[in-house]
Amino acid sequence: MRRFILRRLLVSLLVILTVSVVGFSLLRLSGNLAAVLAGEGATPADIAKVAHEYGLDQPLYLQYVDWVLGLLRGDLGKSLFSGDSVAHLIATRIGVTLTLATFSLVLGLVIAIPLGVVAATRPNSWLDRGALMLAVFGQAIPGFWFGLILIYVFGIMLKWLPISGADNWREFVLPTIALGVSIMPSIMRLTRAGMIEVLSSDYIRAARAAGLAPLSILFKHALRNAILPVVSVAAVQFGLLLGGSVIIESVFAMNGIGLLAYQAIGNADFPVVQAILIFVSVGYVVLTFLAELINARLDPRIRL
Amino acid sequence: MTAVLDTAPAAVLAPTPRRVMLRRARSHVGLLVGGAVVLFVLLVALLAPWIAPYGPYQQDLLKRLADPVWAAGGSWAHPLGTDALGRDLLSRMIWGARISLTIAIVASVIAATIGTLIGLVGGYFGGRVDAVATWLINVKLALPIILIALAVIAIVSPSVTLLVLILGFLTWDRYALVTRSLTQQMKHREFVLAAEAAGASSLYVMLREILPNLRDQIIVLVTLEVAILILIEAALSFLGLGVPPPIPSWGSIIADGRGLMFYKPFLMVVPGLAIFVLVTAINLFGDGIRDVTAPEGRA
Repeated sequence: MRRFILRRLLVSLLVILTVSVVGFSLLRLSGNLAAVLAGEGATPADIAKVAHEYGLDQPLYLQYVDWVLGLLRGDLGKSLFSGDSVAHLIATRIGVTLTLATFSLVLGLVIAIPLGVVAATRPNSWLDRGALMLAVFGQAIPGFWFGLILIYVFGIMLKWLPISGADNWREFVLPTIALGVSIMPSIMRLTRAGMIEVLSSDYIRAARAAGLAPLSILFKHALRNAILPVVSVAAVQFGLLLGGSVIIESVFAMNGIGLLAYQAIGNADFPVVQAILIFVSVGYVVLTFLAELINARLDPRIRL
Repeated sequence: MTAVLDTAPAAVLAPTPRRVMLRRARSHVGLLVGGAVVLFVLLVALLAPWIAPYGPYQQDLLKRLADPVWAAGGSWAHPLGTDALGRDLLSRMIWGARISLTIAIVASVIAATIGTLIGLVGGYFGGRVDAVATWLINVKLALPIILIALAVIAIVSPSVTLLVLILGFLTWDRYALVTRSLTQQMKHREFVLAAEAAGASSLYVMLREILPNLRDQIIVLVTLEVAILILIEAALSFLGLGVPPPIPSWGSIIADGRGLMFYKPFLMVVPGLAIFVLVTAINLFGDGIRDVTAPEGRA
C-alpha cells in the first residue's frame, strides 16, 4: 500500500508541475500581455514601459521561476486591477465556490444514486427508460441557459427565490439546481451499470436464496460494491464543478472564484487568472489522488 | 425466395455483420429519432444561404423586437420574431446552426486526431512511451477547459478559428483514454501478431491493423464529443469570449437575448431549446450507433 501511495503521489506531483508550466506559458505566449495591459492605442514605448514594470521583459523561464518560488512561499502576487493580494482575494471567495460545488454534488448524488439503483432493479422497464431519459436530458441542457430559465420562472414569475448573490442559503438554491443537474447523468449511469452487474453476481443470488430482505440486499450488500466507481467519479466531478463554476457564478452573480476568474480575464489581471488556474488544476489532481486512495482502500485488488 | 433460403447451408444463412447492424438500426428508436433530428439540423446548416428568409446581419430598425408568430401581434414575416437590432431570429438561428455545428465538428476532428494518435502510440508501445502518453493525458485532464479557453481567447482576441483550435486542443482526452485501452487489448490478438511476424513496421501495424478496428468506437466518441463541444461553445459565446459578435452562434444569440429576458423571453428561450434538442438528438444518435455496432450479444 505504501509503495502504491508513493508512486501515485509522485505522478500527481509531476502532473501539477507540468500543469503549472502549461498554464503559465499559455497565458504568456498566447499574446503580448504587455500590449493588452497597456490598452488600446498605446505606443511601443508605453508597452515597453508596462512590460518592464511587470517584469514581462525578462526571459520566460525567469518569470516562471519567480512565480513558482512565490507560490511556494504562499505569495500569489498582487492583482493588477485592485492591488489586493491574490491570496487574499481567493481566500475571501473560495467559500462560495466550495459551498456551491458541495451542494451541487450532494444534490446530484441524492438524485442519481437512488434513481440508478431503482433503474437497475428493473432493466428495460418503463422506470429504467424514464431514468435514462432523464440522464439524457441532464446531459443535453446547457447549464447557463437552465440557470437563466430558473431565474425567469422561480425568480421573476413566481418570485419564490432570489436570483443573484451568495449571502444566504436561499440564494444558493437555484445555482445548486443548475449545476447539480450537470453531474447527475454520469453518476446515475454508473450506479445503474454497477448495480446491474452486481445484482447478477453469485453472492447476491446466494443472499436471495438465504432469504435476506430484498431491500437489505439491494442497499446493504449490492450498493456497497456497485458504489466503488461512483466514489472516484464523484471526486472527479467535484474537481470539474470547481472549473465549471465560472459559468454558473457569472449567471447568478455569485462572488466565488469562478466569477473572480471571469472578471480577472476581462481586466487582463493575469496574476489572478494564473493563480485560479493553478488552484483549480491542483484541486482536481488532489481530488483524483484521494479518489484513488479511497478506491484502493475499498478494493484491495486495485493495489496490485 | 423463402424456399431457396430454407435449403441453403447454415453458413450462408448466418447474417453478415452489416445485416445485423441494419436490422438492429431499424428497430432502434433512439437512433432513428436522434438521427432524423441531427440530419435535419445538418441540412438546415448546409442550406442556410438558400433557406434563411433574411441575412443574419440584416437589420430592420423599424421592426425591432417583433414578437414571434405564436404571440399576439406576431406575424409570419418574422416567424420567431426579431432581436433588439431588428434582425430576424429565425435567420440568425439558421446561420447559427451552421456556425455552431462547424465549430463543434472541426474541433472534434482535431481532438480525435490528437487523442487517437496519443492513445495508439501509448497503448501499442507500452513501457516508457506509455508513461509519457499517460502523463500527457493526466495533465490534460487537470486543465480546466472553460477557464483556459476564456483566458487564451481574451488575450488573443476572439475569432472562430481560434475557438476551433482551442477547443480541439482541449478536448482530446477521451479519445486518448479509449484508444489507449482498446489498443492495449488488441495488440496481443492474432492478426496483429501475424502482421508483426510478417515484418510489418510499427507504424503499419498501428495505422493499418489496429486503427481500422477502432473505427466504430471512434465514430461513437466523435458523435458524443460534438454534443459536448456544442455546449462548451455555447457557454463560451454566452460569456462573450467565444464567437465574436455579430456572428451568430446559438450561444451568442442567447447572450444577445439575456439582457431582454424579462421583457422578451423568447429571444433566449428559442436558441436554448434548439441547443437542448440538438444535443439530446446527437446523444441519442451516438448511443444508438454504439448499440448497433456493438459485437453480437452486447447490444
